[in-house]
Parts: sequence; structure tokens; C-alpha cells
Amino acid sequence: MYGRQRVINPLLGVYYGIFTAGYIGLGLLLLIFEYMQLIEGHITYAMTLVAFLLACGIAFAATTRSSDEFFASGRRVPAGLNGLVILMVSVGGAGLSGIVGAAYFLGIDSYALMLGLLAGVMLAGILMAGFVRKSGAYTISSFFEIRYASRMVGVVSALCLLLPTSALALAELALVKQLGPFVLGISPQMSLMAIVGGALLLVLPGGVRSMSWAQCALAIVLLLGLIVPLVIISLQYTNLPLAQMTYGSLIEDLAKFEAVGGERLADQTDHWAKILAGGTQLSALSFSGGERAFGLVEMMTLFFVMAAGIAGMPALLMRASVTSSVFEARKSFAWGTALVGLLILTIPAYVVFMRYMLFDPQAKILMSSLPEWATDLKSIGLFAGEDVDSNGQLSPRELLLGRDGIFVGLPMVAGLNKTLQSVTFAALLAAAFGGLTARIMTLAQLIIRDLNPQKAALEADVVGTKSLIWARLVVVLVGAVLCVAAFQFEIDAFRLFMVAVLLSAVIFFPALLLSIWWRGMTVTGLLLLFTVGTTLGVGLLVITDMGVEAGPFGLGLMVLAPFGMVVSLLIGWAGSMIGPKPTGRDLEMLSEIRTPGGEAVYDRMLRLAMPRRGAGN
Amino acid sequence: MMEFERFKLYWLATRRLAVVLIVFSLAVMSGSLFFSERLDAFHLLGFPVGVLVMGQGVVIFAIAVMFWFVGSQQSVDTAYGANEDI
Repeated sequence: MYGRQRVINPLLGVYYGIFTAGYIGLGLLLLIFEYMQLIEGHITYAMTLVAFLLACGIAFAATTRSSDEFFASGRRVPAGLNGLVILMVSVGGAGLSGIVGAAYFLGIDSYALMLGLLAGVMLAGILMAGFVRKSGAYTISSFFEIRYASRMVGVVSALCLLLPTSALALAELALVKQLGPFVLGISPQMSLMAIVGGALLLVLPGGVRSMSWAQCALAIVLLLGLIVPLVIISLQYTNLPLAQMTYGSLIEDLAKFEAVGGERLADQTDHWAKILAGGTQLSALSFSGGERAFGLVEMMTLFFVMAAGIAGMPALLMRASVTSSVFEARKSFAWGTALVGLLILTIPAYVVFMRYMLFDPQAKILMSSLPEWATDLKSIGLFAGEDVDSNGQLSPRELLLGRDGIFVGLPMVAGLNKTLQSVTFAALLAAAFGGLTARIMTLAQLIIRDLNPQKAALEADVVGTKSLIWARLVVVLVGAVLCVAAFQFEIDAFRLFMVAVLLSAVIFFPALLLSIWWRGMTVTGLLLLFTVGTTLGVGLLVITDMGVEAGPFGLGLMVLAPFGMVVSLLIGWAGSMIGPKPTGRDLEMLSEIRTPGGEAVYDRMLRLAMPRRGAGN
Repeated sequence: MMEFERFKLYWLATRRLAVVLIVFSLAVMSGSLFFSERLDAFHLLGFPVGVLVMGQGVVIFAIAVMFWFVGSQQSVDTAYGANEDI
């Protein structure tokens, strides 16, 4: 297995083409049935269930009994398809819904968030992906362990990694807990069990392998759900299908709609804290200038924290390890950047159309007879409004919406039929599934590989008979624990996503940056960095109530976070300068990781540890 | 493994490429955020120019930079004999 030429299945494009055609065919069939009134309810079930079953079929077709396949997909995922997974992993359902909602409320200032996301994938691709791939590590903790040949570093980094990865997993579950009753019509508890059970079905057959192939299918569902309804709405309003290019023509009119006078319903300050707190809020800020949510410093710090947090996100960087070479790893992140870029081109169009339809004075929202979408969103606490000026209708200044209601709300507000609404719901569920599977697998890998005292025995079991039984048990255990935790805690999904971004920015981005790009970095420096970075990150979160309250000197979390990053970098540097110098072995290993040619370091270590098995390959 | 002197030259070229691209990209991205308010005073194709630059220009720029990086880094790898044999 190790050291051999890795062959990529040339028919993968055909398989996913068939999947895409099948999914579109199902949508068209449901449209016809809906038009002929042969089917009324259960359309969302049909769309989501068929998409999920197809993804499940792909996952089961990728069942494996090989350790290499289970933990790194046999390092055979081609760059384009890995780019799709990178899109899923970098945002997930919680990030997607949160960023769309934030764009709706923050207007032009939301670009700090969106460009930060884009810059994060770029930074990961340029600064880290190739080196992580050359190390051959399956997890970030293993990367540190290989780089410094220190088991302690691996264990400490795995313990630190549990925090952001768990936060990301819980974010997906919190989103499904909130939207499940509305989208699927089942209780929050049933929604949680359904998504965790579904995620386990995608992960258990083949670990990273089945997860990767299923995530590609889910990413296609996501992109179709994001773009298809928008194309139809764009055709309705601008006569052109390219919503990403046409929404500009609506901005001027939208500014006039937004300028409707009257008393505001609520005190609208500290927009960012309100976004993190969840609940309903007023869309006070525009895409066409005027009042801004952030000062310049806040905007810049949010951009840099988002970029660093995404770049250091553990599940994202591990996408490098599933590619066949360092070149493919870099190319994966280029495709990931392109797809995240498509998302960022689309999100402003999404929210401008949403605002345009909601704020259009012709489309009155009457208090006496709320439209169906408003009643639906109200039932899950994502719509509120009060007729302050007592004119019987809700103006833009009286309309309160929930952040997570924006993504699912667009096709409903546009009055699209149930099938097209279901395409959007399925897209959000697909993003949540994709995100959750990645987080569950990352957590399971940390436990089964990096925190396992019997790691050496696990590595010796290349065929994977015993180790994979344990790995699957750990996957189930992680899913169960997350499910119980999500039952117990009521924390906003996007807030948890941003918590994970901040922790990654303060702890892992500096650690990876110094470990790859500075020869002088040592075990002492890294351990100090982990200790101080984690303390700082958690401390900032506690002091600011996860970003909702102001911190020291009245500064918000996103302004304080860059200080945390700088302190972590300085501690890593100072610890390395004070402690013992890097050993010759450390420098040699760093040089090897920096050279793309040759076998992956971890693969070579395994091959040399098992000469007879390696010789067979 | 490459010989040490050759590796040093290779790493210099790699580091230079990464630093230039990162600094340039982050400057363009943060610059677009910085100047967005002033640019919004102008309109092009119906868009306020600030929105057009951040929402379209910078995104397309970032995608182009990433693919250019992949090609350039591969050229550097090949030029110094550091490209992959597996």
C-alpha cells in the first residue's frame, strides 16, 4: 500500500455526472407531479431523502477494510472533487446559514466575513496544504508529532483540537435542532437523532473514504440548492439568469425601499453581537452605503481573524492528506478557493434579492393576514414584527427576521413552488450533513490515533481488521456523545462556528505557521504556544460571553482576537529562543517536509516499520 | 533528498513566491474593504463600485491568484528538481 503509485478512478466524473443528472431528474419529476397536483406534502422528504439515500449508496460503495483507505481515503481523491469537499468543510451548514444571515443584516460590512473566508482557504492552500500532504499525517496532531518526533506534542495538540472541532460539530447540530422541525416537520430531538444517525451511515462504511465520496455528492446538492432557485428569481426580476451579475441593478431601487421613513422597532446598535446572539433582528444596514456595522478596525480584525481561523481549521487542512500528491493538494485548495469564491459571488445576490422582495412597497406584509412563509418562520422563532406606526402592514423598519431564516426563506418569500423550496432545504441539510461528518471523523481520528496510548499497535495493523473495528466504535461513540450534548445545550449555531474560528485562529494558525515556516521552532515553543493560546482563546470567549459582550477596554471579541494571535506567535517564538535549540533530526525532518518530491514521510515511516509488507508493494 | 545548497535555493524561491502572493492578496482584499466606502460613491453596471470590487473583482482575483500559485510553484519545484516522483 505504502509508496505505490496511486491510481485515481477515471470514471469518477461520470459517476457524479449521473448523480447530478439523477438529482435534477428527481426535481423535474416532482415539479411535474406538483404541477399536476399528484403530490402535495412530503416533497421536502422526497428531495432530502433521495439525495441522502444516493449519498448513502455512494458511501456504502466505498466500504473499506484497509486502514490507509479508512483514515486517508487511500490518498486518491482528485483535486476537483476534493475542492467540493473543501467547500463543504470550510463552511458547513452552520457557517453557510450564518454567513448568509449576517450578509442580510450587515449589508456591505459582511464582506469582511466573506472575504475572510476566501482568504482563509487561500492561506491554507499557499502556506500549509502542500507541507501537510508531504508529511503524510492523517490529522493536524499527527503532523506536529511527525514534525517534532514528540508523542507529547501530538497528545497536547489533539487535546487542544478537541475544542474547536467539537464546537463545529455542535454548531451543525444546533442548526438542525432549530430548523429540523420546520424543514422536516419532526421534533428537535428526532431531527438531532436523524442527522447524527445519517452522518454515521456516511462515515461508518469507509471512514474518510466513504465520507469524502458522499460529501462530493452532498456538495453538488448544496450548489444546486443555492443556485437553481436564485436563477429563477433572477429571471423573474431582471430577465437574466446570472443572479451574481444582475443583482447590482436592484441595489439602487433597494436603497429607495430601505429609506422608507418611520420609527424603528428596536434599538439597532451592536449588530455583530446581535448576529452572534441569534434571535430576530432588524435589517438596518444597506448594500448601498449609509450606516455601517463596523468601524475600520473592527472590519479589518474580523477579516484577518476569519482568514486565520479558516486556514487553521483542522478538518479543512486534513483534506490535503487525501490527495495523491503535493501538487494535487495545492490544486485541491485552488479548486476549493474557486468554489468558495462562487459561494461568495452568490451570497450577496441571495440577500439583495431577499431584501428587494421583502422591502418592495408593492408587496405589502399585512399584519392581519401574514403570508405563509412568515407564519412558518414565526413558528420556529425566525420571524417577528410589530406594527409600530399602526398602518396595518410591516415596513422594512418593523420587520424582524432570524439570521438562520434568511437562507431557507428566500424561495418561500419569492413564492416559488414547494419543489424549489425543497431544493434549498435539501441544500442546507446537505451542508449540515457534510460539515457534521467531517467533524465527527476528525474527532474520531483524534481519539483513535492521537490520544490512543496504543497508537503503535494501531499503526502496525495496516490491514486494519482490529483497528477499524475500534475506529468504527469510536465514531459511533463520538456521534452519541455529540447528540446528547446537543440535546442538553442551547447555544446558537453560528456563534459556535465563530468560536471554533477564533480558537483555530489563536491556537492552530500560529502553531502551523511557525512549525512550517520557521526553522527555529521547537517543542518547548510549541507546547508553550498551545498552553498560552488555549488559555487566551478560552479566556476571551468566557470574558465576552462568546462574543456577545464587550471584553477588556470595551473591545469586542473580534478586535481582541488578533491580540491573542500575536501573543501566541510571540510565545511560540520566545519559548523556542529560550528553550533547547532544534535538534538536527527536527531540521532534517523540516527540510524533508518542505521538499515536495519523494514519498510522504508518514507512509515511509510505516513502510520501514514493516519491511516485509512494504516490500510486497 | 536534494543536496543542501540546491535545497536552500529552492526554499528561497518557494518562500519568495509564497510571501509575495500572500502579501499581495491580503493587501488587495483588505484594501478593498478599506476603500469600499469611498468607492461606493461611484456606480458601474448598476453596482456601487465598492460592492463590485469586493463582491466580484476581489473574488475573481483570488481565484486567479490561487491557480497561478499552483502553476508557479510547480515550475519552481521542477526548476530545482524538487518535483514529485510519486
